[in-house]
Amino acid sequence: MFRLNKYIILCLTFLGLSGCNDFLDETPVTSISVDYIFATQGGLEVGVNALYNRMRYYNFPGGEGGPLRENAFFYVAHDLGMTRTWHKPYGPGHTPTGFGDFKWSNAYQIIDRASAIITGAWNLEMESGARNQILAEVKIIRAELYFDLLRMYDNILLDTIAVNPDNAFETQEFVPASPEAIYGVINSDLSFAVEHLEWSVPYGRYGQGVARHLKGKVAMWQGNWTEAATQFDAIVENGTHQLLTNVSQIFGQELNHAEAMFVYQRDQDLGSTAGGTGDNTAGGRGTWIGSMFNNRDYEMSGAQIIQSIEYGGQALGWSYPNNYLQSLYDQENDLRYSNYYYPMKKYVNNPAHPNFGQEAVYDDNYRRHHFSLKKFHDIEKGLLTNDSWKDIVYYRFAETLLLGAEAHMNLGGSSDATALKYINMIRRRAYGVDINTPNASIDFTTITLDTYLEESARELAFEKNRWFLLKRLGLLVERQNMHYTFGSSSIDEVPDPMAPHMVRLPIPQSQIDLMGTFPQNEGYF
Amino acid sequence: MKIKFTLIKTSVFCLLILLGIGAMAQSQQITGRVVDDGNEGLPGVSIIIKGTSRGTTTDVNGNFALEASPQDVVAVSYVGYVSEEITVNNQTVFEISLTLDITSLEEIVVVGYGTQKKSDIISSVASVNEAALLKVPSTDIGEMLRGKVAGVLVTTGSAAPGGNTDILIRGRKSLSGSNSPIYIADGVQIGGLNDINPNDIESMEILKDAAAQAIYGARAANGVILITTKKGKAGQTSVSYNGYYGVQSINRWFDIYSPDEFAQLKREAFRTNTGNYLPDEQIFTPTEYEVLQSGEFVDWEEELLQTAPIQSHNMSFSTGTQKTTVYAGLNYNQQDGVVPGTDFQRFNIRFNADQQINNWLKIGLNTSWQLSDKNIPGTGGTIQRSITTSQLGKIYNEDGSFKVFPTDQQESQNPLMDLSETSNLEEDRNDIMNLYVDITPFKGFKYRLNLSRISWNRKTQNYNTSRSLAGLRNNGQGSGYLRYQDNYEIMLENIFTYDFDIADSRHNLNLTAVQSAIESKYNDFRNTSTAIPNDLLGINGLEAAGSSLPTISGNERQLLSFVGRLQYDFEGKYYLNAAIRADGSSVFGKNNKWASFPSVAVGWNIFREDFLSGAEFISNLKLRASYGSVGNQAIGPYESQALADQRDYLFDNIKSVGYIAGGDLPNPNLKWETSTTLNAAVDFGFWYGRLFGTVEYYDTRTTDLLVWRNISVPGYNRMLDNVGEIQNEGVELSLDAVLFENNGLEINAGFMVSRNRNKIISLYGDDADEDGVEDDDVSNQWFIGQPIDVFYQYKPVGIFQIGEDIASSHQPDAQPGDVKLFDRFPEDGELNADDRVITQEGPDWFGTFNYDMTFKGFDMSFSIYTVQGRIRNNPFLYGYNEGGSLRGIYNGVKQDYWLPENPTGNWPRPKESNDPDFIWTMGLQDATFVRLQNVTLGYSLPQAILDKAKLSRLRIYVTGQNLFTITEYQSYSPERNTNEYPEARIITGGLQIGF
Repeated sequence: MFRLNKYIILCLTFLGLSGCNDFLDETPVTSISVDYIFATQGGLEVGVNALYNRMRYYNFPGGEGGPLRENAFFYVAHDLGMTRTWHKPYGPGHTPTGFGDFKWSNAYQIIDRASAIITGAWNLEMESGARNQILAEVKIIRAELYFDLLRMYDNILLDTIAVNPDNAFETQEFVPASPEAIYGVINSDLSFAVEHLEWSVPYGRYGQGVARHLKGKVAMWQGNWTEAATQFDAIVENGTHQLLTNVSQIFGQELNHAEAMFVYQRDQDLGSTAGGTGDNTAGGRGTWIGSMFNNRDYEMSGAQIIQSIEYGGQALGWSYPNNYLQSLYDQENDLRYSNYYYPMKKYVNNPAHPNFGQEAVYDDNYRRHHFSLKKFHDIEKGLLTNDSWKDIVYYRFAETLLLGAEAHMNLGGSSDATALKYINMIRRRAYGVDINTPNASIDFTTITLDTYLEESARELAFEKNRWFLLKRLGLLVERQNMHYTFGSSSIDEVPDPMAPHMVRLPIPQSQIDLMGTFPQNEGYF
Repeated sequence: MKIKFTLIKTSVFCLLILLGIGAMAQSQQITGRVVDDGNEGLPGVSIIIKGTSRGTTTDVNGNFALEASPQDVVAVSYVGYVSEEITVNNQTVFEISLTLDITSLEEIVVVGYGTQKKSDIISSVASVNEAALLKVPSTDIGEMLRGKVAGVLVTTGSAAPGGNTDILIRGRKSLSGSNSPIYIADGVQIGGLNDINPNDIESMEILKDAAAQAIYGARAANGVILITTKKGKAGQTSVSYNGYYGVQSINRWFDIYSPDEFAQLKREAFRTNTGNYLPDEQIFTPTEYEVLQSGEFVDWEEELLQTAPIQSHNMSFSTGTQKTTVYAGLNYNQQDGVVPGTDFQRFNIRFNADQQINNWLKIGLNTSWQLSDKNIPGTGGTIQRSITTSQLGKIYNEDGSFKVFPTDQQESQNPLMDLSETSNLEEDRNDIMNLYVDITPFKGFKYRLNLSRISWNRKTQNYNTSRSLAGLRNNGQGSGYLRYQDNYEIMLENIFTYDFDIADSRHNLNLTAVQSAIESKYNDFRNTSTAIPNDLLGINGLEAAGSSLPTISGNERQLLSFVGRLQYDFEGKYYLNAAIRADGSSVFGKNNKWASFPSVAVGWNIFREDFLSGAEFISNLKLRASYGSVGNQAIGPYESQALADQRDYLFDNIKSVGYIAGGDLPNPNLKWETSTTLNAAVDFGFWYGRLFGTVEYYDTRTTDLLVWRNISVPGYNRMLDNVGEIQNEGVELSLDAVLFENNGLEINAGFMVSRNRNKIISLYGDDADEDGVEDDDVSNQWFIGQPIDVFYQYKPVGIFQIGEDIASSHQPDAQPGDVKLFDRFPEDGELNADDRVITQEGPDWFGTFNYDMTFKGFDMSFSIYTVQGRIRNNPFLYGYNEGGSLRGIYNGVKQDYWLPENPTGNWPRPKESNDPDFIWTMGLQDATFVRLQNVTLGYSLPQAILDKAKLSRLRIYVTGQNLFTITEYQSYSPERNTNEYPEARIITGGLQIGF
């Protein structure tokens, strides 16, 4: 009996030793705590890397679905675009619930993490050069996002204090911030970035060129032409960024070149096709943005064309550059027409077809045959997939020149020398002549808003700046109504005008529901 | 009859004793032996001289010695046996034979940490016996349980080979957490029902109310299923074989477009866009056109689906002596899928043993080893694609290789290709080891040390060859992954029970105390490889892969618990039980790790009251009620902590590691979900048990729900929080009757019906619009006063017609032939979010009707199962990939679509360029069904022949499972989505032999 009690006590003691509290403590096995990011300089740098990843996701999410659609909207929903099918901009889905909250939610998420890193960097003892580098990269991201949000929604929240569990539920009144306050944060962040970023940076990182480019762009929105011109001129004068002379290289396979100011990175070997997690990897998930704007010529009746690298392989053909944009080009001589777009003339490439090598017979079906965008062309893309892992140029020097031309035009009028110099550099390059040598048959002698908008369209179409440019100029609705169409063939292609209130996006309904007091943009229900 | 015989035997025995009475009154030494029916000595039998505290217990061989006077009356008692009282008289040597107390033994019900006689049960515990389970030919015990217990809703989870079911006991209680019950086998929590070989199950108990569950505290909110495996029996040796072999097939209950109808659909789709019929050459792809001309259509169902075998073979062996009992079971299951290339096999060994060491010490062991292989390649969509792949296609290229796009359309890939070019093999090892030591130092007290370790390992080999679709997309290179998962859980429990020996024997009091500690660890490692240059080694060639991406995850969790329980009754009439469990779980926030879960139950056996003694037709009448609470951990490890997400990036084409906080705001204050249940029931039995049943009512309130709530904090999307309240209120009725019993013919019938009402009572307690009613959570589709599962979407009310004033409707842009939606607020003149309506998913109720009949050696049974009033969203009716959106790309379920020439069509007009607007609102469909669940016909050889063959049993039988389903739901299964494996119709023949 006594021995028995001893065993029982032994068993209980065994448990006693492990201790109730220690036993229930949990330490993650394969994950790290958020605290690590703010504890060391290395942690902060790792945080910055993650923000680049999030920015790639924000602008070029892999695969299809809402995130792609919300981004594609800005590529196509203006005077240069047309849509064939489901993701129809300004359609029944252009509502507070239908449009989605990918851009809004992700922008605020990255802004919050950026603010956390900014606070963390100030709180941590570290060498000031290293700190400034971290701050500059993070601040440019924060500024870029606030600028993006403001331009998309007009009415947005401003909050630069990072959230943590302690302050998360402090009473906060959700009201739209004044544009002045928002521009204040943007300009202060960008000034810091301009001051502390180098011109020459590793491929994929933000450098001073982007910082000034953005600062100039922001100034354009504020009508501050002098400041804009100052920033753009500085980029031109510095020389780190230059126009490539060969148009075919601008969107070629190798994007680590002088004209590209900022390029989103992607790599199939370090990436993954997995939905949900592919975007988290260093190499990212394959993007469909290129396939989206390319037709499916290989579906043409009669099996004339098979998938080929030349024509972009498998594609989706959901939206396209429209006839108006096509009409702007000197199709014979403007090199941009043959380099930025797939050829309209296609040749039978199916060896089994009797007409092999001859020009194809086209169906009147836009899915199979339409003017298609080649700016995302990827010669390494698989023939049977929409996934592309090619890098993507996001800011390039050609836009700096065109915006610079606009700024100088506003300062000096239609014959301003700098404005003409900048826009003519673009024109000469497009025609394959020396950029710095005047050429009477190509050069503009005056610059007007119309000629500027046409040249900008020819150079920068489908690079996600047209919608914003027209909006800034107050021309979005007017020009969209003139040129934007919807249809699947020449028979049912019709103008698809946007309503005036659509110059700003609907605030996502989910956010309206949560914030309670935040007003919906006018015209949306 | 057996009882009667025993009574006679006992009486005769007593009479003999009486005859031997002498006249001596002197105190004397008496000796004797107590034996059971098989003449084996019974150890530990209590022998007490009545009215005194003098007494002894028998030794290991059943012998005893005691001082007694001739006039003393000796009370001989032993658990599970009928007690005897013997007057000593002048006899000095006694041979006492105790008879098994059949009534108590047969109605013993396993409850948490103990057993009880059925008449003593006052909480909601339902039992299912082995025979009922084994009627169902399945590799899944959940499927065997379907329709067997009121309040337990079994829904097909995956009916793929080796698949499983979802078991929901009394409705959904958790919004975000698991709603699955826990499974306890022989006192050890196991990972899933199928860790146990169904042939090894002695009994299965489902604990449904808080009083029954509370002893499992924090894990029990979704119910507890207790499994008791077989043990050897003293003095009985048996060997038995139970096996079946059968075939599975699936049946389509709905129409799809014929090739000609599909071609016409496609022509119409193009016509809608272009305004007139185009020539066929422009509409159809070259292959479609060619096949349309030749008429050589592909029957994809024929190509893709097969009739597949299923078989099970089980051998069991059991033996025992008074001191040692042994049970061993051996099981082999094999199942091919109706989709070629899918199969499953499982091998299971169980070994249970008990050894009595001496009169106070016993050691026992329950072990199970299970190995299984499952090959389910990434072909989950194959069944769907057998419908959606257009018949206007070709399977092979002219060179005999697979044609990647059978119809020349990139959306529609060749489903046969991946069947043969992809593989996904899961090899599982699943072990249960349970060792216990029982110590009974003095009467009424028992201590058990219960130790267990369960472990689970899975190795997954996934490979897509260079000729698979993934391979072709990846420049003709192989890809796949190798994954290792393992999990183990160790448990240590100290269990104390004490039966009070109260002088007034009308009082029975029993105490249980448990202290328990559980720890589990999980590891997951996966190496995903792409660009494997050749297929020689499959995934084992990953060393040659161009790219390998490893991922690793793992976790640990701990649970520490203390339990106390009191069971009291007076004369078997009035019952009171109370229990409390305190649990501490590692997964919760630092300040909220501990919680306690109390319960109380009362019961009244009215039929034992004197005032009913005359009412002989009442054989059972019991009222019982309970109230108590149980918990749900509902979250995974580390979810209360702020962990960083790994988000890497590239600079100069070189990988740089990145970490950042994710979109979920951490909440350090997380605590348990608590479900509090009021349960009230009447058990009744009339006419000597010829009609018996139970009516039960419950009301469960679950509070502090762990919910991912969307939060109004810029930068964070959501936070796990404890909010709100859910109600599950329901009624369960089960009724069984012996309809006929005469001349060897016996007919029994029974039914059970369950109805559960689920309701969200509260969410976040916000009232932002200040209307006095708590706000709904529209983004999650949670509405106050509505069930958790609702659809909230526009409601189609018809098709717009030509001539209708569409422009002034709330859908001014619609065209004739488009879906017309319900306009909830016509005043506002537009279609907006407010026009959406709530539709409850249900079900309203579900039930089973059982019928069985035996006549001589024949037995026949059938059961009908029904789920009523359930609405499901059927993607076959609208989905693009499911062929529902009328684009002419995928084939699909045949609809009467609208055309200018067919204005009565009830489905929108097909359109080539895009899905018809709002066709996605057309998916809600009544998934009510009535199914002939099981029909069994058997024949057992008569005893005379068996005796000659030296067999104890030989039965042959045939079973039909899922023979027939009546439903309006247009899918392969009313419980499954179109791309998921439906339950098969199974017809088997079986054999049971016992030696």
